[in-house]
Amino acid sequence: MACPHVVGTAALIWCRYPNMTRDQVRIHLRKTAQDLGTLGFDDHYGFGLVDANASISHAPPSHDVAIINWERPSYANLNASTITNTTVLNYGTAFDWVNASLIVNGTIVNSTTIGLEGGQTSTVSLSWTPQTSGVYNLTSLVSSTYSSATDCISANVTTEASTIKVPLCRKSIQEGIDVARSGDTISVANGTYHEIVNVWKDNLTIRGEDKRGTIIDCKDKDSWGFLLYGRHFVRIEGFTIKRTQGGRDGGSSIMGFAGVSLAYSWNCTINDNIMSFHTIAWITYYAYGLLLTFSFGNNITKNKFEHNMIGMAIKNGSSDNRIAGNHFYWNGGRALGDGGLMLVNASNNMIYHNNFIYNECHLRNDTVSSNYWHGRWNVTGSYWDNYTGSDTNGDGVGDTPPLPQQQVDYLPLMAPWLPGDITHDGSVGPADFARLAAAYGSTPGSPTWDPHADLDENAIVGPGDFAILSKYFGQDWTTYWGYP
Amino acid sequence: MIGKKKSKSLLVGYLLATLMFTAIIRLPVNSMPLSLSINTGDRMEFIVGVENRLGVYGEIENLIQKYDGQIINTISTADKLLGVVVSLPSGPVLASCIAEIKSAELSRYVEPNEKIKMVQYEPNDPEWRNQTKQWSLWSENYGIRANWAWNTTLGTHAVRVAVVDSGIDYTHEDLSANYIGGGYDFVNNDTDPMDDLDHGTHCAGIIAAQINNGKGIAGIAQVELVAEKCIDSNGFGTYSNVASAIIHAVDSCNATIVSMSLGFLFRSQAVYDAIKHAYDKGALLVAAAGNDGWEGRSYPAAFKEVIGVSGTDVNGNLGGTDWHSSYGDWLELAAPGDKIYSTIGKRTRAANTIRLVGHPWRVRM
Repeated sequence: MACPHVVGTAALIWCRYPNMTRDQVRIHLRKTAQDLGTLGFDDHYGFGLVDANASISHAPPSHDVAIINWERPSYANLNASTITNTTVLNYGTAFDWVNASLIVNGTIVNSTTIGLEGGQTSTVSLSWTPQTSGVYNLTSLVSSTYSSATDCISANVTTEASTIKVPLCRKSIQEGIDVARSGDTISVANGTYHEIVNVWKDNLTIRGEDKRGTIIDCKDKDSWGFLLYGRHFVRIEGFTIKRTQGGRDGGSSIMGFAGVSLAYSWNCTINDNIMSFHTIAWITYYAYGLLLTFSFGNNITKNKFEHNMIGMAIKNGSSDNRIAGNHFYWNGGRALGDGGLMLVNASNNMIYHNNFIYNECHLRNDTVSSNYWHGRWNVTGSYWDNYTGSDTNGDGVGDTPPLPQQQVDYLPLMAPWLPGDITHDGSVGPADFARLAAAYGSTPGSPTWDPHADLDENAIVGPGDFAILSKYFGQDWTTYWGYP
Repeated sequence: MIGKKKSKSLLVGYLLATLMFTAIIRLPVNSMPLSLSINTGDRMEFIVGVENRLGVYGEIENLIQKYDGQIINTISTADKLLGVVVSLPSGPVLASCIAEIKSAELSRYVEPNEKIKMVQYEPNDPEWRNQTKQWSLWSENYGIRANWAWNTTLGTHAVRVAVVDSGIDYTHEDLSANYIGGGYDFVNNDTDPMDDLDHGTHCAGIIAAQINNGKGIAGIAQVELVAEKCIDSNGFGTYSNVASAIIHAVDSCNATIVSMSLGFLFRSQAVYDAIKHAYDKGALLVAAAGNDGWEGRSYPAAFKEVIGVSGTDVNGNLGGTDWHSSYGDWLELAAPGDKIYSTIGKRTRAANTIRLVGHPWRVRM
């Protein structure tokens, strides 16, 4: 019931000083508030506790200025004009000449003076052209001519093209998305972010600095990490998205609680993230690491799902998604026959190269339509830790029928998957390199063609595959998936 | 956002009040089902934020009809259409329909018309009511010291406050003097924004309960109150109704201050459109930070156009004994939010015999 106290006080101010403009009332509330917490503005009390007595007994001054809003670019382009817009209020009651300056790294680069009546608000555009690349600190400074009053606001801007740095330039991931334009990358530095990120624009990349250090810590209940509704060409990678608890999926609801929730979205990529501890105490409800509803043509690759109630679910007619190279580890908790991957009314999805280890139940398959349990060349499936069959021909793929509860994957890997593992022995080393070299340059139909060596599935064993192998050379599945 | 999705009867046809101000006046087909619910059953509701150009309504209508979809509501200001609320059959065609709307460049955004839970609902526990009444107005330490301000002014009807909430019990003897009509009930689609939750009435009392009438409590300012009802009797509202209520407050009721003691964790573009419209019309917008007690954002409080307010207790600490105020650098002000005594409706009064008390202090005139 805090809000009505501010409303009542604002109303009282307006009754006492009927000539005040809206912005004057807002600044008057701030300036007459009783400062609590740390000195000045803080994230618990803002500018302070609203004070009706002070706001009525203190008449607005004759001369004062305040910045109401400041628009600045998300990034600056070298040798191009960078424009900032400062909305300044003459908080005073009398006319004033207000000087507005743009300061870059401590130097005034542009300034102007405008006349403002008492209570008048106006927007001033100031520009500057960066000559060398780097991070710049921009400050907008406004000052009154007839008094010593000033106000200023600062933020950083980089010259990295199309890249919005969080928190260097924008305080939160959501703020980065709110100002992003199509094609931009939101580059998120290591740290813990308490946000529910509504990705409401298309064609964006949201990238964490390091998936183990860039953490979206969901609220303890009723929450999500990233929400993608009706989106396309959004790429999310390099995050740990952890701790969602609670909620229910309500049958056909698209709002099931999940680390990442995609609904009626397509051509999006969720790559190289960790989704963990999305759990809940009530087994009749669901919580997911990742939830796909009504979505098609998305790429879900190289994510690690661990300690979730349900690692990942594909539901509500979601189709033609590629679920490849994900690691489902120790998911479950409902004791109702699910845990790792859940398929409900999902069809034509390609599901392969995933690892299913220690899940309460690896797969719950309630779908009537078929999905593809192999990659493009139909030679490999996923790794299931309870597969007890054998590999008679030594190609790393099990040859005896799959376990009854799976009944889907007839090409089970004999060792957990990691990128670059051509021999499917759980590690990337000289043997994989030898296989790649033997098949190098081959295409389907060639005598030397080896579909296992076509790591990027582009129908030629070539530089792309070599790059993948080189990147992961020397690793095994435990190091790749982050086990000591 | 997650409570059991209750079936909501929608009137066949449009909110007349909304449509009257819509540039493109189209009546909906009369064949739509009488009972729809949000995100349950066979159909789902979405808000499509439209490009404001001629004919866009008809284009969307034509397009979604192919998918057995219907436009069930609009979000519009006095002179432009901001969004349409569509009902679409759940199922695989849903994605195709959304895709076609997007590829036809008909939308700025598409978002589910989710139910949102209001924040800061206050318990009605009898013990809770035994606390010192109205400390928040008179405490010299961490109250707002309204009684001192009243030496100068009690408020006038020159200022109009819209309470975007669960309505106001305008028959309440402590509120009727300052209440004026003109608000709308977006939950039931009528012009009677009677409160059936008590939350809006409680807020209204803090703002403008009649002073010096020997009854009940004293409100902070004697100003005009308008009720824009968008929260239902269970404490839920939808994005589209919240957005419409905000727009109605400034367009139809000419409110100068909009009080939004509600919030949700999800940034809704439909609500933002409404906020931006109200801000551009010069209204002062105030919203609660939320009582989730975490660092995450609460909207609309976190929009920069809105004054986000955190709640404090009698000792000036954030939150109270049984709740926590959310916080973050998106806040602007703090105000008392714990154990606030105020007006509630008749229904609750019957259950809780203590409702009205005299002033705990004398007003200094």
